[in-house]
Amino acid sequence: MILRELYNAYLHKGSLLSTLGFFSLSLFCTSFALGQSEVILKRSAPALIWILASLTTFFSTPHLLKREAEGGLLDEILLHPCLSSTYLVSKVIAEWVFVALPLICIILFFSPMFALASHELLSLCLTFLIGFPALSALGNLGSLLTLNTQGGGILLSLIILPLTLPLLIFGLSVMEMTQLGLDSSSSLSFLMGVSLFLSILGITIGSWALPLAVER
Amino acid sequence: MKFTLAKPRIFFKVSRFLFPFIIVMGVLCFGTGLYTALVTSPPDYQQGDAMRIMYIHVPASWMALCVYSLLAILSLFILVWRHPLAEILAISAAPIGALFTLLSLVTGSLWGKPMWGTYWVWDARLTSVLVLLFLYVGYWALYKAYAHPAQGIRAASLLALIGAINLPIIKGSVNWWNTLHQPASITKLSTPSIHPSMLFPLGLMTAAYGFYFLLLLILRARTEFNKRKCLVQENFS
Repeated sequence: MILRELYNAYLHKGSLLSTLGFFSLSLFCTSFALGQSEVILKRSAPALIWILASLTTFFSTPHLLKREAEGGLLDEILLHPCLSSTYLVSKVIAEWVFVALPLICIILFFSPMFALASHELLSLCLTFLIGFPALSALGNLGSLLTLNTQGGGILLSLIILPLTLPLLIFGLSVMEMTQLGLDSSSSLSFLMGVSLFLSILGITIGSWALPLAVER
Repeated sequence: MKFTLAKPRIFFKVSRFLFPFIIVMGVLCFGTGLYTALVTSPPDYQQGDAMRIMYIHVPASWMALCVYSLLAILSLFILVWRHPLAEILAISAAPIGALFTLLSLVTGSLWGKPMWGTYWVWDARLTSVLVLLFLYVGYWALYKAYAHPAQGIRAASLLALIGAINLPIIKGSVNWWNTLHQPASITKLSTPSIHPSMLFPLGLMTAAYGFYFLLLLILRARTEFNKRKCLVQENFS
């Protein structure tokens, strides 16, 4: 199933490219708008990157899901004997590979603009990779909930962003600790716990939301 | 049993019976509560008269939490048993709860300006209550985004269930983190650290808020019932 998701993503390279384009362009614009001051850039980089990355995830997930719903795949998943949560898990893993990893590459590419040191960059990428499954699971849940509505992406961000706040808090506290040169392991383990909890929550409730997304 | 309760006729009968009682009690509680809170209760020895806003602020926050808990329980009923009365009560309760949350935030920040020197701080309690407001808004937006309300209510109920994890966070936020917001002074296991002369008006105000909520809930639920009835009649004719 993971392979199928990956292949599916490969087939829709265009939407993936536009996602990455959106992310890099918005990153570029905000860093440009913040001005020359290295201190401000350095201080605000983790927050900016986190927020833009979560928005990017929430804009990209509904597209794939919508296409599959139109193709009738969701109905088939419901009829299939395997659990519908398995489908969501495979989706999250595949998204981790084809959204999170490219986003990391873009962050690495843009890092000179934010004047980040290498160990800060490392912890930023690490927190993002840890937090991403929860973002993706919640994004999938949100896009299942909003599949039959007209609102689309904006509605999805409205209902899901408040739920991602714990990720933001712990992810950014890891970054703050690193920037101050302190031991960040406690925040990191908190982040892992929260991410795991939110992923499980998103996937479980998402599998309940699947029948809802199918009926019209 | 579950479904006899859901009949509109029984709801109307019970609510018509309770309605005058609720109005009388609500007016009484508001009157005596406001009088004792604003006139007869002593000013705080540190905060002076500014603490009187607490008689508005504290019950509003409690009601915001209570209404969300009610919403979460009703959502469970909607998802598991597709209970029709629960649907109507849930969509009637959500906007009222959002208003209580907004009232709590606004009065809190008005109090914060003279006491803390700022309208807003990024304190755990304040942030989690703001998240509660966003959850209410998201619930309503999701419900309204569906063309068919029966579908919308189920999607929104799922959201309300996830949002319920915010409730213990709000409750615990003043104890788990070092916050500017003071910890609970009444819902402690030992005796409350508040003088009876202040506790009494606070209790009255809470009761008044509760009756006000019930009043609005009944009115809104009746409107919703009648709206649905009209819709059904239109569809038939």
